[in-house]
Amino acid sequence: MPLDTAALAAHRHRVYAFALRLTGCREDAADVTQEVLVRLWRHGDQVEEARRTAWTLRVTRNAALDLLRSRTARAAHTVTHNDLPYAAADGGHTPDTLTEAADFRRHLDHALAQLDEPYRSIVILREIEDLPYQDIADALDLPLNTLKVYLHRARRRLRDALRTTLPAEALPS
Amino acid sequence: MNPCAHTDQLDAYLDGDLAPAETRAFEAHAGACPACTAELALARRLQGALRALPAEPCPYEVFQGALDRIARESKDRPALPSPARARRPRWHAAGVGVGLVALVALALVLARPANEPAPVEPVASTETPDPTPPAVDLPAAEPVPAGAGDTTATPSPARPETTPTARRRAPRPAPYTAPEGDLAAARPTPSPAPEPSAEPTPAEVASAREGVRLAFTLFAEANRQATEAVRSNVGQQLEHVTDALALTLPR
Repeated sequence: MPLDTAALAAHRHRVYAFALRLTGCREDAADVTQEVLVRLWRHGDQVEEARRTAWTLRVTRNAALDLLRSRTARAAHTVTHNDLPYAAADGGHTPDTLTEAADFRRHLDHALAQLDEPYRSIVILREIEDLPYQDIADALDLPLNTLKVYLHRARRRLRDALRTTLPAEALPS
Repeated sequence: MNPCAHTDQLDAYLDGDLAPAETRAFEAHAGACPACTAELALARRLQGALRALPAEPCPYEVFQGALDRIARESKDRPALPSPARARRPRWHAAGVGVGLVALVALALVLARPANEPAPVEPVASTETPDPTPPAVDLPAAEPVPAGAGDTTATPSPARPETTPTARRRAPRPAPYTAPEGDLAAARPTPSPAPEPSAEPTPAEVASAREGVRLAFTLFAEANRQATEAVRSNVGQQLEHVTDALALTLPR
């Protein structure tokens, strides 16, 4: 029996966030999310519930990469969050620190967008979505040890990218 | 960029994957190594920034769009095939029917004895027997050998097969004759059906061949369409299977 609306709704935010990070475009993320939710409705009941998140993330990644491949002619524009207060929940930030944080995150978004697959997916799922290693390994069909090696490699590439793009005074000492 | 080799342990240290002794050793080293100190600070800031990235929620209209698609699909996916696919087999069945009818009709035409008059023409043919050959240039005919069939038949210049071998064939069954009195009045002379032993003309042979060729062409086309119909129905089912498989296979 196909999944009900509540089951689909439980996955929609994670799917959309992952798709948005991968495509860098809200319109593409919306297309991917709808496609994934329809597939989840079609086939989700054939997937064990404990593995459904990993399955959904795999489908999301495949759909997003397919979309990117089909739209190579269109320049992907990176999502920027300048209109959102950076870590506003932390409080206690002065305008200067907010500007600095926003600048750091702009460079971070750019560095993340430049990462190759599967490093970008790994960073998104582990560092941003905070998913367990096993779910990520299932979603990307990678052995656990390989996943950890790739994660370390992805972090190093991000640090290298930030070191080359950030001004020296913005780097922590 | 990172001159210190100990930075290789940095991520394992941040993830807590180092053994206690390795952790203590790394911390002792990092406290005294500027490169590892800077790298550790950058790694921590990077990790904090990534985890602090705001999660943009899925807009409701996106979710509603998915639900709309699902509603349409659930309406379009009954057990029966879609209307477009349901119509196709009827056309294919029609094609098969036409081919079969053509084949049967041709078989009936070929099975009819050559001397048997057409069902709608017996009276006319007996009223105006016309042994005149078609107006085509054909070689002159030889006389019919004695005893080679109907002796009343007039040698026709339209018969190309004039050799005795060509004429050596099983006698055809006698044509149906109506009871005396029914057709006698209409028949000026009780002549039998014209040329019971006559061979088909080249035009008849060519026509028959053309008919056979046409019938086989129709039948082959009908068979092809029927096969395609079966394949398309199987393909429709395979679409769902391959879709499901594609989703579960690694990329």
